[in-house]
Formats: sequence, C-alpha cells, structure tokens
Amino acid sequence: MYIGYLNYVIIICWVTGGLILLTDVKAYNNASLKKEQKVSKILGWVNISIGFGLMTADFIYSHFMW
Amino acid sequence: MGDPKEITTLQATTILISTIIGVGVLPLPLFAVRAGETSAPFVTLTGMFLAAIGLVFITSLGIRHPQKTIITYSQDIIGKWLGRIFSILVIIFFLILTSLTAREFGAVVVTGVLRETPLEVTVIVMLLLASISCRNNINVFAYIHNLYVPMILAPVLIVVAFSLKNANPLYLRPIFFGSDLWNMAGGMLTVAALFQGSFIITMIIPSMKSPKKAIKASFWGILISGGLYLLIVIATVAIFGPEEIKQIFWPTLELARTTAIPGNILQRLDIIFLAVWVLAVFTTLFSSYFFTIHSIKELFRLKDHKVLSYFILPCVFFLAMAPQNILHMYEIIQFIGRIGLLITILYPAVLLLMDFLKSWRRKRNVAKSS
Repeated sequence: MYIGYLNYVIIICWVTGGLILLTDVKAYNNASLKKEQKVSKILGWVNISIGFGLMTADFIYSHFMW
Repeated sequence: MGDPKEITTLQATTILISTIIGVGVLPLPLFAVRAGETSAPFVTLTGMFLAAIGLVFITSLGIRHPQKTIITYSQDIIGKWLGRIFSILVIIFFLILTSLTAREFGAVVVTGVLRETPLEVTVIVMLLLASISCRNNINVFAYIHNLYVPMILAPVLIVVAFSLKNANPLYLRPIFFGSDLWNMAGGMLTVAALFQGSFIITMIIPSMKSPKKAIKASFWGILISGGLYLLIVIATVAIFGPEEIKQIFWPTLELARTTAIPGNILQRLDIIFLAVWVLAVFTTLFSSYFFTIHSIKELFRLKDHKVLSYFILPCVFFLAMAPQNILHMYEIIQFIGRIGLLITILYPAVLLLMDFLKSWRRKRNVAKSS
C-alpha cells in the first residue's frame, strides 16, 4: 500500500519530539514536576523513535520488498 | 499548574455554542435532506432533541460530581478498571473526532479556496494551531471561545436572513414524514452526531464558578447552536429544494454563494462565510483536541497537559489522512458519528442510572443503621 503522506508523518514525529525535549522537559524541571519531566522525556524520545522507525520501514519496504 | 475555578455560566454557554457549530455546518442540509426529503428541518429538530437528552445526562452527572470529569467519576461509579477501559474508549473516540474534523476542514479548503495547496499542509496548519492553543489553561480556552462566538454567529445569521427572500415555502411540505421512518431515524442519528462536541461540558463543569448553573449553560448552548442549524436547514431547503440539494456536496456553502447583500454591496457571500467557517472549525477542533489531551492527563494522573499537546499530533495527523477521498471520508464520519452516540449518550445514561442507584442504596443503608 502506498502512503503518500508518510514523509509528513515522519517530519511531524521528529519536530514534535524535538519540541517536547527542548521546551517541556526544561519547563517541568523548572516547575519541579518530576513525574511530568520524566514522562515528557519519554514521550519526546518515543516520537523521535517512531519517526526513525517509520523512515527505516519505508526504506526497507520501497527498496527490498517492492 | 492547576486550573482556577473562574469559568462563568456565559463562558460555558459560549464554549458549547462554538464547539457544536463546526465543520458539520456545510454538509448538514445534505444529511438532513437525504434522510427526510422535505422534512429535513423536522429531522434536524429530532436530532437536536436527541443530542439535548445526551447533554442533560452528562451535565447532570457533572453537577452530581462537581470536582471531577467523566474520566475520574466513572471510576468511582463503575469501578476503577471498568472506568478506565471506558475512559480509553472516550479518548480514542475524541481522538478520531479531532482527526476527522481536521480532515474535513482540509477537504473543504482544498476544494473551495486553496486548490493548489496540498491537503496535508492545510491539515497540518490547523492541527498545529490547535495543539499550540491547547498548551494554555482552561481559562484561556474559555476566553478564546468567548471571543469567537459573535464572529461565528453573526455572519451565518446574516447569510440566512438575506437568503430567505428567494425562499419557496412549498419546498418544505410535507413538514413531517416526507420520507420513510427508518430513513428519518437514521438521519436523526447523523444530525445528533453533529452535536457530539457538547460532551466538552464534562471538562468545563469542574472549572465553573457555580457548577449547578451548568444545566442553564447546556440549555442555552444547545438551543442557540441547534436553532442556528435548524435555520440553515430551513433556508437551504426552502431555496434549493430537496432534489437540488442532493446534487450539492456542501449546500450551506452554495447558499452563501447565491446570497447577495441588497444594493450590490456584496454579490456573493461565500468567501466571508468561509472565513467565518474557518473560525468555527478552529474552535471545534480546539475543543476536541483540548478534551482529548485533558482526558489523557486525568487518566494518567498527570498535573499538566502541555506535553501531550505535541505528543498526540502525529497520531491525529495520521488518522486524519486515513480516508482515501471525500466520499470515503463522509462514510467514515457518518459511521463514527453514529457509533459515537453510544459513547456520548448511552454511556452517560448508564453512568447516571448507576450513580442514582448507588446514592439511593447509600441513603437506604444510612436510614437503616440510624
């Protein structure tokens, strides 16, 4: 199946992950919200990882399986 | 980072109005006419009543638990795990609703205004706007809705008022039962689904100055938004007639296109209407997005929702792009809308019933022991 908008999803995953790590983690640290800081760190990396995962899957699918 | 209790009854009303009035304005006359032919206004009215019943259930629950939302009091009423499972279903439903709102917006903009712009870009821009706005607290959320309501209501009323001079009342007869009952009942569910944004009241009540007045806000909210929907359907059917409407994808937009302000000041109002419609879509999207992240925050007992505003963005975008084309999108919207009625009407009804039974049993036990 061809998903034409996959590139957009990958970029959004990276941008949102980056924004979470750059802004929210620091803000929660300043507000001394430890649980939220930990969660934001995890969620930021989750989004970045999903972006890389999708890119790898797309590369494998389009180069080796199609 | 907690939310102060500052929302007034007027603000709660405006939140409801601007949340309900959204993307559904454009295809509403088509949905109603497909179901009821000349009885489209009657179908709209019955759909509005069904939605009002759901709103009464959810508002009554909120008044009985003024410090909590459906995510938290459902765990008190039906148990921790069952409550959590149903809360996850509510969250998933609103996540899908948010994505479909964004997609419908993108589809209209790409078809009607920005024909060269990729669909993905219009959807991303709207979702980004919503996600950035959602990083504020609930009071800012209320101010934004309060600001936009007059801008949404006034132009739509002007379009309806000026268009009525070309109306033919014969197109509205028979008023009742212009089609078979099953068809009309299906249309009633579709129209009721357009009011599902009113579920947001569960999130508003804990932040209201006087939660007991929530029922007043609900009444005016559904009356004004439902009244506007009814006016739009009456005007559209009276001008185009049921058979013509079946050939048009967005009859309300066509209504604005054929309406002129007397004295050749403006010969067509569709661009003004679309500008207003963008505001209406933004407020609807904003509400459903805010409700989704606020609910996730409560489910996982976080103190702040900001981080979630960016986190769910890729997921919402992915879901928004899932429908293959406009026809597929409206099929999904109608299906999800009808399924959603189980979540927005039946689920609160069951919760309210169980809550009543629990408090009745508690009172009886207290009376026995004393």
